[in-house]
Amino acid sequence: MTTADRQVLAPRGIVGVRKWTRAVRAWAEAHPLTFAALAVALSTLLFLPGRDRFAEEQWGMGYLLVTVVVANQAGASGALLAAVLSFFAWNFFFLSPFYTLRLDNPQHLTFLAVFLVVGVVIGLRTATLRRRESEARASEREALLLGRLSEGLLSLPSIESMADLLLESLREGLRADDAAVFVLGGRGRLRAYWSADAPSAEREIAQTAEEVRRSGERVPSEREPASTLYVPLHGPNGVVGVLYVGGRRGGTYGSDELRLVSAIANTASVFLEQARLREVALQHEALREAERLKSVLVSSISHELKTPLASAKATVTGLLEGDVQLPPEALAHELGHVVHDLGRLEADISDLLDLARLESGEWRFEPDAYEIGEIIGSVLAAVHAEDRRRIELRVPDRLPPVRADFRQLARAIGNLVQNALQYSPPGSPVRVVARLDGDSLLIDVEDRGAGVPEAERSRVFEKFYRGRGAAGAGTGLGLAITHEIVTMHGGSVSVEDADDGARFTVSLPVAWVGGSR
Amino acid sequence: MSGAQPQSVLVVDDEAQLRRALTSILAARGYEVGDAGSVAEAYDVLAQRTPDLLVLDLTLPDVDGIEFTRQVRSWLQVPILVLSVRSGDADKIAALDAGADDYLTKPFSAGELLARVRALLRRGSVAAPAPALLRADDLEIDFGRRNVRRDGEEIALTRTEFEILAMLASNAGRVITARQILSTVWGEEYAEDRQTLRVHVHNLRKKIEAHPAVPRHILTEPGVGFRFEVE
Repeated sequence: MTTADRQVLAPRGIVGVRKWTRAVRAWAEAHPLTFAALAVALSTLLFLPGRDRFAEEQWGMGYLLVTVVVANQAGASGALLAAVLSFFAWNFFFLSPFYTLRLDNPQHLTFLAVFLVVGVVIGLRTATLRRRESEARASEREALLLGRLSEGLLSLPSIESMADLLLESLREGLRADDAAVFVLGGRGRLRAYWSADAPSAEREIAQTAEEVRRSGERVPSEREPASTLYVPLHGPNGVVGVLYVGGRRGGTYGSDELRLVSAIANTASVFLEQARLREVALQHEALREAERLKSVLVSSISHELKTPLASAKATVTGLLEGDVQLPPEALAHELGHVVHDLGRLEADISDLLDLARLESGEWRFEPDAYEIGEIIGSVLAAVHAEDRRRIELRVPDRLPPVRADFRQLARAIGNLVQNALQYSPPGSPVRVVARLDGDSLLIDVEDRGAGVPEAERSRVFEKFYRGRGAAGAGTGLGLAITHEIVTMHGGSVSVEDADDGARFTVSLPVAWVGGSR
Repeated sequence: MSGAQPQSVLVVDDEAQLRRALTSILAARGYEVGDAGSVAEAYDVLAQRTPDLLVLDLTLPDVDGIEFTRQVRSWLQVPILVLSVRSGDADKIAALDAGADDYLTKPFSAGELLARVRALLRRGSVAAPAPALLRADDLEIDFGRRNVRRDGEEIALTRTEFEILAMLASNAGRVITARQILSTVWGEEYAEDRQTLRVHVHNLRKKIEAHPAVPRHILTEPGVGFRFEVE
């Protein structure tokens, strides 16, 4: 029968008895010789009143029983002593003449000799069996514990949860009063995770743990039974942590416990190594992504910034050459181009700065309840008067307010409006519609442009993505910025085909403030 | 003040390139332009002569532009136009509350600059009293009779609404901070009560805007205040 079975089958009432027998056994293990002496003495006292009821020879059986019981509780040394003491006690108290070691019946000498041999053999045998049984039980418990530990560690996401599981295993497996896990963190410092009832001597324990980390040797070293244990966790490049197991009521840690702690330590080391590799892989991935973005950024920026700069410079230096006298209208026309180039440059730089601010979190999100019309109004105010005539508005009067960072949302919608104006035929209308759909406020921006091919729809909101039709201006950041801002508002942005162009739709959660509005 | 004398503008900016550009734009329009690269230099110029307008960059090498605004305001009534970068909202508000009259965000066009300069000089000039009647597209605001018409129809405004509108409209094109409106219309102790102001502006828009859902006259300057726009 296994330990686990026994635990399951044990009726509740027996639990108290088992606790008591366990205590007796623990005491017997700790003081085997005293236990043997006491057992023989008590049995003798118990046997004496009934001395006349059985034959003198039969008392040998009683002492044999005592020897077996002692062997079972206290082990080999206790069994030996019990056998020897029983030998004398039987002779002294039960074989006539009583209270002497002399014998009336010479045959009794043979009995005594046989008793001694049988007692010793049975005692030793029982002790061996008992040791094997308890070893088997311990290793079964260890195997269960380690199995659960490694299974748990495989599925654990963080060092914190690993530490929790380790502490639980240490306390349960070793019945320790307290335990701690030290993990090597950044800058070579040990980070401590304590079991719930952290010991008062935290500082001393942490110091010892630090020494163990440096030396890589467990404390105490080898074999000697100890009341506390420090076991280093070895990684491929040195010690990565230390396990500490604190005092144990009524006992010390022997080689069995040491073996178990070592096994737990090995499992923990594997976990830590795994966690480290995972971390390295993630960092590597992030670096690669950053590297890729950087190269896209550099090529995109250098192209986008240099193009208007080059054209403006060429125009202005051309005018300065002085070899051709341009009439004022032609001059104004040329300068108009320069203004256009500079405007593009300004927009590009704003895009880059905005994206950098959004991504670094420097642009603080300061939401308040606004009516969407207020925001659309400010978007339109920023549109060129000429282009403003192209915009058809459909904004109903009674729309609920949205919770928004005014400036950011205006930027997001403004990007869509500019985008629509830019990618549709000159003079064609751009429609801006606000409407309510359940708990969402939708803002549509529709143009009569070429539309966005189905295959590109999921990508137009990516940074630096520029559709096939997007010849000419733009860093390819405008829609990415819109996406970023709308997402920050808890909304979404999408694109679909409109009647004869594209329809970008921003969906925002409605903020019902003031209740009665 | 005689009409023949050119109006003078002092440009305070630490960037020589921008100083040069501003000087040439303004000088070409007949303004008399002085310039200073720092607050110390600005004080030297101010000691000689008080200009009709101060154009001030907020980032200066020696003294903070907002602090300088406050100092100038304590002894001069000259209008101040502040130049700032786009991200410096807090600076704009602080400058306006410190006594600046308007701001321009860099980069700006010559047209924008000249419009602001003209508006500020007109206001600052004692010779030109505020018009008694202001026409803004479909709106007609009669400051004397304290009434407002839209497309010839009189609109009933509350006293508070009229005062807000009057304050914004007489500073058309200029941003007015929420604090300025609140302390002028309600009094200094209400200067932080932005929510009240927004409710009144909302009601005002409903009455005067042709399309209140998308206001065209009273525009929100997020985080700063409001601006009355004439198309």
